[in-house]
Amino acid sequence: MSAGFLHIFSILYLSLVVAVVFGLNDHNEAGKILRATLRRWIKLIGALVIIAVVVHILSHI
Amino acid sequence: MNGKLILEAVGSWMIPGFGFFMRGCRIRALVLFVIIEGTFFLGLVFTGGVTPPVLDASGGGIISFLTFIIQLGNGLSGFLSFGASLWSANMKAQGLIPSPLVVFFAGYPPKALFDQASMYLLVSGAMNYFAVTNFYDRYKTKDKKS
Repeated sequence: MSAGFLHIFSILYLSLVVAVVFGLNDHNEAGKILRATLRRWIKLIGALVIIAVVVHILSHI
Repeated sequence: MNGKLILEAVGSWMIPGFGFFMRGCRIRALVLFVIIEGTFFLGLVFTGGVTPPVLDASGGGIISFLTFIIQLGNGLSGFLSFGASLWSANMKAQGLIPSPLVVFFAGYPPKALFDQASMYLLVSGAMNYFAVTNFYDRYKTKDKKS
């Protein structure tokens, strides 16, 4: 597996782990845990993508 | 101070999900165990390891120390990896070759993936800290009420 794919997998997987654990900590019902996890995961990925774009732009200035 | 709760919290630090398992929340315990230990295991597969902190003026000191502390958030696995790392370094210093199992737990710092793999161990440890404190907070309140 190339290093690039591993980096992308790492971002997706580790942010999912964080989202799942926080979802488990906050809720008790499976449905609420799943919804909270998904919401957090998407927000986290979105934030990381924005940071990546900003860093990419700044590195070309 | 609730001694039983403290023991369960320490047990949860060593084995993720232990406290919840002892309190009857088996599914929650299993999910936490699989996620946290699975992440740690993936980090080991990618040749990561818990290495001794670099405590000098080179600039890596505080980050290295914090990384070490957080990686030990996954207690038993973290200590196993740290022990293997020390053992491996000791064996290499004596001109011996450590066994594949020791090398697996120790990681391989010269490899390019080592830093990224250690991030998996870091996330595993950090998430277990959150899980343990969450366990303690939940049952501290429940035990007080009962």
